[in-house]
Amino acid sequence: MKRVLTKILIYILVIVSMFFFSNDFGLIDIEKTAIITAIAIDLNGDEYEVSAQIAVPEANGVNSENQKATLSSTGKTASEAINGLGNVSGWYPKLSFCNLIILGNELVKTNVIRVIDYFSKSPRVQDSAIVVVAENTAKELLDLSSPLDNISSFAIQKIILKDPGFDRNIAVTTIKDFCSDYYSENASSFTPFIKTEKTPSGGNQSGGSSSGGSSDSSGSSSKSGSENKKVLFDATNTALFLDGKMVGLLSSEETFAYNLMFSDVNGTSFPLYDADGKNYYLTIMRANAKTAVVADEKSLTAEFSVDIYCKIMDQNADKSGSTYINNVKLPAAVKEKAEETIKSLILSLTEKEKSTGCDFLKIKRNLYRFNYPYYHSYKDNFLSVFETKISVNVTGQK
Amino acid sequence: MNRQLKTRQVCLFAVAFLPVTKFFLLPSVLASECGRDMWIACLLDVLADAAAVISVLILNSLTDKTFFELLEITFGKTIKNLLLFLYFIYFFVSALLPISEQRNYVDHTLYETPPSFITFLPFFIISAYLGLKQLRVLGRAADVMWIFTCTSTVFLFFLSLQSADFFAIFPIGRQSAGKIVSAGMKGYGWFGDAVYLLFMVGRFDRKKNDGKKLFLSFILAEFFVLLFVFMFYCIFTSISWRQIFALTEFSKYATVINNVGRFDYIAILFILFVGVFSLSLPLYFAVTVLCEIFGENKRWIFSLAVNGGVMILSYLLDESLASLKQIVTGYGFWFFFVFGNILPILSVFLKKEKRKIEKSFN
Repeated sequence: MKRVLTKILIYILVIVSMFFFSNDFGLIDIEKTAIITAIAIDLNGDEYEVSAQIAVPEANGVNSENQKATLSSTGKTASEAINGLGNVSGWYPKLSFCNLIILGNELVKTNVIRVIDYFSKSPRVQDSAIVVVAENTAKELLDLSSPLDNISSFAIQKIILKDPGFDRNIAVTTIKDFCSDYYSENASSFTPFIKTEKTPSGGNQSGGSSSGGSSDSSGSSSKSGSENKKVLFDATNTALFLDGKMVGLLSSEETFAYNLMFSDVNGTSFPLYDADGKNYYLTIMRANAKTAVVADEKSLTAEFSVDIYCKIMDQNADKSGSTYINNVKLPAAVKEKAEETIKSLILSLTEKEKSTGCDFLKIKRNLYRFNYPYYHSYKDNFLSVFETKISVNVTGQK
Repeated sequence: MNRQLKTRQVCLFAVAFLPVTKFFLLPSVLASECGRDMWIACLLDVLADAAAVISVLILNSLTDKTFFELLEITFGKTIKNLLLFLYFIYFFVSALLPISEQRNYVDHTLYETPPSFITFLPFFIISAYLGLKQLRVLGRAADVMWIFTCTSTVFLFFLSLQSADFFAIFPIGRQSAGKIVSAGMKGYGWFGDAVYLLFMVGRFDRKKNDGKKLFLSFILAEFFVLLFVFMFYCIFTSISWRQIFALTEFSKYATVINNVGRFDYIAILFILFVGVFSLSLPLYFAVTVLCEIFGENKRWIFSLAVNGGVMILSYLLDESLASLKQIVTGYGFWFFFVFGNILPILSVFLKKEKRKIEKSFN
């Protein structure tokens, strides 16, 4: 018994010492720590301006809203600018909670991998953070507030990260995915493109404001002010990248079609107008999508097929036989219209691929992986020679 | 006296301790050499180890003597001591890179600011303590630790399934055979696990079918590594070669981690905990070898000297980790291959019975 107790004590001692030595000495004074929730990167001339949104914890019990501050700093490299944040504030920039990287509209005209690569390689940042592109400057996006959350980055994350069952109408990309796509055979990647819409009650409401550095390294911070506008964010458009530069944009409908082919879209709904003289709202219960590339000496074909089982959620009908539980058979006109709509959206994706050069449909990658003998024949001209074969089958209750 | 371990403990020893040290730097080394075919290179290493394990198990089935006794019967005391001293060097050197890489991992992923010298010191204290004990301490630790290794590994694999692109390994075999073999050679510094079994020959119970159980346990341990390497490429694809902290990155892309937080760190910390014992293995056997050469009564001196020596060297080599890696993955291969694989395979030819020495006075 004594030996067993001794053994247990030794194990406890070892475990406790592991925990004790693993991080206690690495604690940073919380007062000196800036918990960065999002980073916005803009290109100003030949310098990168990095703005960081910082969550400020307050234990006053009065204001239930999240408080924020924004700091900016510039540098010739992203890491220099981030370290500059610490220099101007005295805060240690803690990036472990940074889940969002926003790229400005000027930056995406250059090869963004020059800045993204740092976040991919540095253990200080989670490379599972989401990358998005701002319609205007990235810093401007950080400064805005949303009715969803006073901290804009939290509001953006709310609309981007969704649990299974919600609409999957956004093409999400993490730093890791962006980089691995960039370094893959097709060098093509994508990110959500964030647009803003003023809320009907928008105007002067409470929110955060900030100002950034204009010289080598400067910044300022401010808590929730009164001059910020409340906006809603829309991330249903998708920015396309080739060799790290933004080359095009997918519309909301095209993004839906893209997700249909490459993501799990179960639970996602889509409207169908003027089918059978009525408007419908369908929810996808199951979607099996396949993409394949078939190559031989004479031709290269990209095959897209999708089999969808969906449910009528709503319709402008005088009488309806469906209930929440019981699905009904899809009227022939609805089935036909749905198939036609999805087919045209997929076709539109292939045309976008050809016009932008961005291989977001992964044709070149599939050519490399599954048709390697023909890879060298088509790798340079696949965009101009590939033919498209689309097959869509939409069903309701059988 | 020699039977310090049960067969069960040797089986669990393999499952608990052998995979863990291969979860840090090894996958990126293999990826940098042959990309999507890295799992084939890893398979070559696993097969080389499997051959050595089979050979040692055959030896174990043919004799009741320990490896030390067999060496003495076959070569005499002087050659035995010389060989053992070479094995001491092997264990000492093979401990350096895994310890440095795990220290590097702990320093960079668990600490926000540069950690102090003291943070990794407890490892050497525990390792020195283990060095004082008889072989049964490893068996008893394995009895507990295997559950940490298995649950943590399976948990991390399960979380990473969602983000793995299993078709990323296609087209299979695009790298030349030479490159794949070269990658296998570079990765071999992390293998050579049969040598531990060799040093346990004659020290554990032997019953019917024990050989099969032992072989399956070693294969299961290597299978964990192979699966880890395979999943590693499927998750990181074209940027695998630069993922030196893969263990932390492995599971975090799961939706549930994004929504709930990094609870996968529980599994990671368990693996690091088992890693303390895994990293201690070469040091433990280095101490054992010195005890065999110079006498058991000085064990505490050897334990302090070996662990102190490795500690000092690992701190001195802190800025030379890249060079150390280059040596281990470069021409160091032959050293590791000979002592970790060739000699265990040849061990089956050791004389099994005590040689009758006829003294002649001419």
